[in-house]
Amino acid sequence: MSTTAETTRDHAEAEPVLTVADLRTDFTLRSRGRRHTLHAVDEVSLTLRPGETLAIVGESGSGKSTLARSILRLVPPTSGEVTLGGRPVADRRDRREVYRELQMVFQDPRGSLDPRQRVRSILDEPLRLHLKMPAADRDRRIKELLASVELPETVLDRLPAALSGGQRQRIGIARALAVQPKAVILDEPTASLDASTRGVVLDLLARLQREQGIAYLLISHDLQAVRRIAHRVQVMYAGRVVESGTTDEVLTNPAHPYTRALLDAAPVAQHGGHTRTIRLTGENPGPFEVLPGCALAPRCPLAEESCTAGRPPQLPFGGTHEAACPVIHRQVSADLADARRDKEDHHDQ
Amino acid sequence: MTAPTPIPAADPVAPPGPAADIPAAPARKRRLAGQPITLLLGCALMVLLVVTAAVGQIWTPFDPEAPGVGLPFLEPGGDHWFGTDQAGSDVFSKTLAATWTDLWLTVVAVAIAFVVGSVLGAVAGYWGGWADAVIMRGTEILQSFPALLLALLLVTTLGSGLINVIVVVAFVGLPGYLRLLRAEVRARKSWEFTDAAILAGNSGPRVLARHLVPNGIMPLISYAAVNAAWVAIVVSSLGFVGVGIEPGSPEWGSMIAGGRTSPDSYWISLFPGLGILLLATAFYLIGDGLTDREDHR
Amino acid sequence: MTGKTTSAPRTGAAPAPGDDTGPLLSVTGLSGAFHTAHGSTQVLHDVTFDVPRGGITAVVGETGSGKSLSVLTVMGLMPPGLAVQGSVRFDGRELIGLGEDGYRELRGNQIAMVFQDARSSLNPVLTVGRQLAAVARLHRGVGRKEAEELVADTLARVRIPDPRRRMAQYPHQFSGGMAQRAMIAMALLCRPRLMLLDEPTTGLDVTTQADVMELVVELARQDGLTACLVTHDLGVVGETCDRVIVMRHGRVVEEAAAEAFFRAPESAYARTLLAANRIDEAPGSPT
Repeated sequence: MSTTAETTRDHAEAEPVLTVADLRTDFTLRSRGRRHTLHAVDEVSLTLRPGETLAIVGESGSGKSTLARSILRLVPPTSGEVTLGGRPVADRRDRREVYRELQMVFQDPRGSLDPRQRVRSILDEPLRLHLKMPAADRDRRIKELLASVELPETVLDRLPAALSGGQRQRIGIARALAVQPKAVILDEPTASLDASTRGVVLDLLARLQREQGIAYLLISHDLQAVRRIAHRVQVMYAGRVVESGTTDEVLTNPAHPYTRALLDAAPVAQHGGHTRTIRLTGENPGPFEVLPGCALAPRCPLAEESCTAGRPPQLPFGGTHEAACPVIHRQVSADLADARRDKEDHHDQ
Repeated sequence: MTAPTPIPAADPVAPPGPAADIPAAPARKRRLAGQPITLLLGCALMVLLVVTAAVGQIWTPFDPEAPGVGLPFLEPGGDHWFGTDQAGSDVFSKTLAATWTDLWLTVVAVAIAFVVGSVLGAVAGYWGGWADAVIMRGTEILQSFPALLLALLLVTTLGSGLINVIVVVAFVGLPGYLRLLRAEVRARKSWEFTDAAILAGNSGPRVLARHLVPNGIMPLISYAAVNAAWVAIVVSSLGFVGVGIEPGSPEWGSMIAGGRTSPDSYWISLFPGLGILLLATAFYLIGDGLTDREDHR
Repeated sequence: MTGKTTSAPRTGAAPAPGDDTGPLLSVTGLSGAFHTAHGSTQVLHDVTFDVPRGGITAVVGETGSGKSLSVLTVMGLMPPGLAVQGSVRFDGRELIGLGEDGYRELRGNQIAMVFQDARSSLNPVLTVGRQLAAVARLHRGVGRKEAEELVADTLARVRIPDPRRRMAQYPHQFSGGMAQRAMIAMALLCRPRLMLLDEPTTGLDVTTQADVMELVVELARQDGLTACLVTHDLGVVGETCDRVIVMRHGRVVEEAAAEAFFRAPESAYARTLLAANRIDEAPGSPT
């Protein structure tokens, strides 16, 4: 784990590739004549540095996919700022300029490839349209891209339907990397793959990052994938970030009750599994209900009256670790104080 | 920056590369035997009609437009296989010559409706907003009239003639294409491949033209064939009520109308009527067969 | 018809119904192939496994392993064009060649099935309560009032809060997890002897998934229900199952007690699969 700490320090010194400040994306719904405002993404901030992987973890309805789409302006954000390579994205005349530096690998490799387009043409498009490369160079670059995702040249003339799920996702990755972007958003890149293919694709992504210094924003609910390739983690619930820190800090020592419940619920491939220690009641309500206090409060076994009063602030848990739960923070602080007192008592004797 | 040579992933789980993946399904072969019977029948009939039309352009036993090549009202038989009409013209020659007219009128009108309807439908479906609102309200107004009546009304107002007939028939048939492609484009707009195409550097119009329309065009082709059957009938109906292409030139609808005054001489109306029936049937069978084939995919 | 049989009660004459010594479900030498004009493709190769009475048996495999196909064949729900051979015995009774009427009697009364994506398995235009009551009346032979009582009780048993209010709702008002509970309730209403669950938690949130699987385990432990879980997720299997059957490319590659399996799987494939499900423990996590 020392390597993780070192690289995290390295990343901290580099200029960020992508920063997101207080991003908010609202949707307005009309039902039975009444308008509802839905906060899909609620004041989310993040910083992504070259060569690092930041994971955004959350379940369906947490707003993590909308966050990705808002960063890319596929959905217009309501407020907040996205800065790419030091320049605000909103200043760019054409959003296609953004895609020369920021790309995306989609969740469903079948749905994100045009069923009528052959592999050659899929990989050719970004080279021709973004980079305006001459035909001969494009041809060479396509072969290079295929090699880098470990696919044989025989797939060039195939349609996506003639490829396996893993092969399709490799094409999706090659397409995203074609323009040599500074950062790539990975939207659940392994969710639709079989277990054995999942590991191979994750390793491929990690290798490409090492070789090319790309920054990844990994959107995922798969904690195993996060553990395997992410350096830092931000946990989202109902559109808000509830916990953030290094992968080690958040996943080994989760603070927020939601993160704890999420880790607790993840099945373990061993006989008898494990016992769950924290349980949320009911199900994720999604961003439909806007609460004044903590969004988790109605489901949280630790909730107190004060939780519903105001939005909990991000509280420090040592290192870069932060979580928005005053209850846990108080507990941890008390435990720390106890430990310190015990130690001092010991000293005095 | 790039990796020119692949480095095998150090993965304990499965061998790297495509070998770890599940083998792809074999490509489906296109074969005559696998096609729906309706499609095969329709195509056979269409070939027959096209050949007939071509023959009618090169050779007819008598001049189809000349009156008095025989006595009026001759029964089928002898020199005049389909008999003669009130002016003594040869019905066989006229029917043969008219095949070409009705066929190409139908095809051109359908092609115009297809192209214009597709463009409007694609625009409405992709951009939505006011463009969609304007196009759709227009379509609804157009569709609130019975189509045949509207065609008649328009041709009567604009005056008869070849161009007017084609334009009016295309215009009346256009909403079908428009609605179909609009629905296809709208459905696919939210697919990930639309976002992926935008990220790959495609502009809005290019996403539409290169990705959304080609993927949504198949239902329109089936529809075009069914629509052509209807157009063939409307073209001859216009001819029948006397507002079709210029009177006198051989056309099945106006030939049937000519036979109206002499109910005893059934053959004057019967043979052009069969022509219309065959043309409409051929288009209909092709349309039905294409739809069938789509459903089995 | 059956070849070599492995357990005594299945040999010779059919054992008396209710004989509860042998396995509840026993699949022997099951082969399946699609025959087309282009030739035939064999998708199941001599599949043999037992589902013992009580407890949860898992059939595990990746896409295309034939796991779902095997279980659908048990229910007589194999896709058209699939020609099957071999033997499927349920409580000593041969099911292959049973005919549609026989299967209809079997489904629901004896074997119930819960599918992936519960919301699409429910009729969208009828309230959930009405659909469940219809099942209760059909399979339990009770009247309208009693059926309603039974449905409310069963919904409470699958831990759906406020069952009376929920019964008046339509499927779209149910979340994925709630709908899956309702489907399990529907299966329970038939009082089946075997419950087949085909990827019941795929597509649900992690926390919801854990809750649904816990419910299944509880039902199996408390009510002595025999369940057969088809899944691709070894994590879920580890958490819940007593027995594991691993399939690959239409073949059974391993059949073992869960404890032994997770301690030391015998086949190389099961080992890779297990490693793949523990990818976070793989060496060389982020560098």
